[in-house]
Amino acid sequence: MEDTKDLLLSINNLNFSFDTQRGVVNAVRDLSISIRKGETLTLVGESGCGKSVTAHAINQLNPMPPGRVDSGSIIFRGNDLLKLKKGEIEKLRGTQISMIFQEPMTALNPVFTVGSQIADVFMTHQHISKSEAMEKAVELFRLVKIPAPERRIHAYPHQLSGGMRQRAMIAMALASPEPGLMIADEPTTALDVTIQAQILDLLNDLKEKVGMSILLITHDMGVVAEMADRVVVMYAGRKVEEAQVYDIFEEPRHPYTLGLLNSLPSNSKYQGASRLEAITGTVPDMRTIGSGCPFENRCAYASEICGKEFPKETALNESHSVWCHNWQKVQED
Amino acid sequence: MKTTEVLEVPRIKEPTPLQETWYHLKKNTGAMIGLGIISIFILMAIFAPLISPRDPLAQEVSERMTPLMTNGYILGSDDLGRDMLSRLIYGARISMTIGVVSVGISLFFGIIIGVTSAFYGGVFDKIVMRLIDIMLAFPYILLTIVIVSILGPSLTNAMVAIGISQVPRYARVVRASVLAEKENDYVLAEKALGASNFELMFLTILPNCLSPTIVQATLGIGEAILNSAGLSFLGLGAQPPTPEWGLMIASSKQFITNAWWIVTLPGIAILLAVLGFNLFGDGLRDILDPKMRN
Repeated sequence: MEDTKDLLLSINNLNFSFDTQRGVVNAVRDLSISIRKGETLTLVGESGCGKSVTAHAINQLNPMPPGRVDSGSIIFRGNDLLKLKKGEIEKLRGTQISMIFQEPMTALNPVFTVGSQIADVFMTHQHISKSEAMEKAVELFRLVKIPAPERRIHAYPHQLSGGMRQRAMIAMALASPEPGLMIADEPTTALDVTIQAQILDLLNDLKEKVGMSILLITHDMGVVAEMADRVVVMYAGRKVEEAQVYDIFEEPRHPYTLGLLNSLPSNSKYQGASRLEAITGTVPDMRTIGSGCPFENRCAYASEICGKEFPKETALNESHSVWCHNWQKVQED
Repeated sequence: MKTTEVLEVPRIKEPTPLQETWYHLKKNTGAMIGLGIISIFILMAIFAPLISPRDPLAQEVSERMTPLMTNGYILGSDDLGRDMLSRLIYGARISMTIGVVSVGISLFFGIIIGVTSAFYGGVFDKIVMRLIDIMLAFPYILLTIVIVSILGPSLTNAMVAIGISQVPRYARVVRASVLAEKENDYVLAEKALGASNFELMFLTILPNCLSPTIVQATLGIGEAILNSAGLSFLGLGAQPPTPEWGLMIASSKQFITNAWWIVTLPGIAILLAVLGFNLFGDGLRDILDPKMRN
C-alpha cells in the first residue's frame, strides 16, 4: 500500500497497557500509524485517549512498570525500537528522535542557563568542546528566531517568556546531528494565541529547512488545520479515523470526528448562534471497555452491533480510512 | 517589502544565583554575624603559624597556669605552661578540618544513597531507607563510639566515625528533594534528549536539590565540631598533646577552681564556632527556601 522507501516510522498493532492498583488500563489498543519522511502527522483526540502514551512509547519514555507493551512493533528506520537494548535507545533519543513538551515552564532545567543546556546536548552526542557547543547553540537560537541570541543563551529559564522558552525547547530538540523525527506533544497548549501561531510557523519552517518529520499531538483542530499533512483521530486508545487533512475537515466519516469538528467555534453553522455544540457524555472508563466500539455510549448513530464488536477498517480512498459500522449514515447527514 | 528591524536589547546584567543569595544574605543580620565568626575562625586556621605568639606544644614549666594578660601570655598558660592563645588558634585549624572532612564524608555517601534510592524507587528504595532508619534509631554518640572503638581512637578515625554517623540525615534530606524534583518535565525532557540515568541523577536532578543540602551541611559542620570535641573529651578522638578544644577541656577539668581559663576558654571557642555555623546555616535556610523569602 505505502512506499516503504519513504517510510520513517511505523507503529504496527501496538497494544500498551498500565497495571494500576485498580486494574489494567489498556491505554493504547491495536494502533497502527506510519509517518513518511518530511511529513507531519497529527494525533488528535481528547485528554486521556492515549495520544501521549503513543508518543512516549516511541522513544520509551513511559514508566515501565507500571506500563508495558503487550504486543506490536515500532519500526524506525528499519529497526524495531521495542527490541533495542537500553543503551541503544538512549543513543537514539536526542539524536534521531527528539521531543518537545507541552509546558515550556517546567521542561527546562531551572538551575542551568538555556545555552549551557543546549550545549550539553551537543557535547553529549557530538563530543565537541564547550566553546564550540556554545557557538552552535547561538546558531540554533538564531534559527529559532530568538532575538539577541548571544545574550539570551546566558539567560536562565525563568528569565525568558513562555514563547521564548518554547523556542529554546525547540532549539534543544534541533541540537541533534541528524534530526529524523520530532515528537511535539501539544507544543502550543500553554501559549497564548499569537505566540501559538509564531511557534507553529516556526515548526513548519524548520521542517522544510531541516527535512524532518513531525509527529504532532494536539486536541486543537485549529492547530491540525495549520500543521497537518495527515491526521489520525484517536478515541479511548483506538484509531477511529485516518485521512489527509483536507478529507478530515471536508468529509469526516466517523461520528467522533464529526463531533470534534462540530464543537469548533469557527464552524460556519455557528454564525449568529449563542451556544456551542458539545459531544454529550464522557470518555468511558478505560478499564471497563469491552470488545465493542468505545464511542458507542456517546454516539448518535449507534446501532446494536456497535456494543458488541469493534468495526473493521473501511477504506474510503487510498489515504482515508474509518473504523465505524455506520459510516454511511454519517456520510448521508 | 517587509523589513525587519532588529531592536537592540538593553544590556541588563542578570544576577547569578550566587549574587542573588549574597544580596539576600546581606540583609540577614544573624547570618552575617555567623559568617563573620566563621570567617575569623577560618582565617585563624589558615594563618595559625603567623599569628600565634608561641609554639602551641612548647612547655614552660616555670610559667604554669599563668593568669590572663600576664608575662606576655594574653590568654594565660595551661597546666604544663603552654600558651593558651596559641593552642586555641591551632585548635581552630583542627576543628575546621574536622567539620569540613566529616561533613564531606556524610555528604558524599548521603548524596549517593539519597539520590539513587529516590531515583530508582521501589523495593531498592524501601530496603535502603529501612537500613537508614535502623542507623537513625541509634543515638549518634553510641554509633560513633562503636565505630571509633572498631577503628581505634585517633583524630582521623573520629572524623570518619562522625561522618558515617551523620550519613542517614543527609540521605533523607537529599532523597526528599529528589523525590519532589524527579517528577518535573525537565527530567523527562533531558531523558528524551538521550541522557543516561547517571546524568539524570547527578547532572540534572541533583543541582536542583542543592539548597536544602547546603543548609544541612552548614548546620552539620557546627554539629561535627561539637561532636568531635565530645569524642576527644571522652578520650576517643584527638590524643594529647594535640591542641584540640575538646581534649583541652578534658585534660584540665580538675583545674577549674584555681585556673578557670584553661577549661573555660576552649569551651568558649567551641561555643563560638558552633554558634557561627548555626547562625549562618539558619540564615541560609531562610534565604534558600523560597517559601520563607518575601
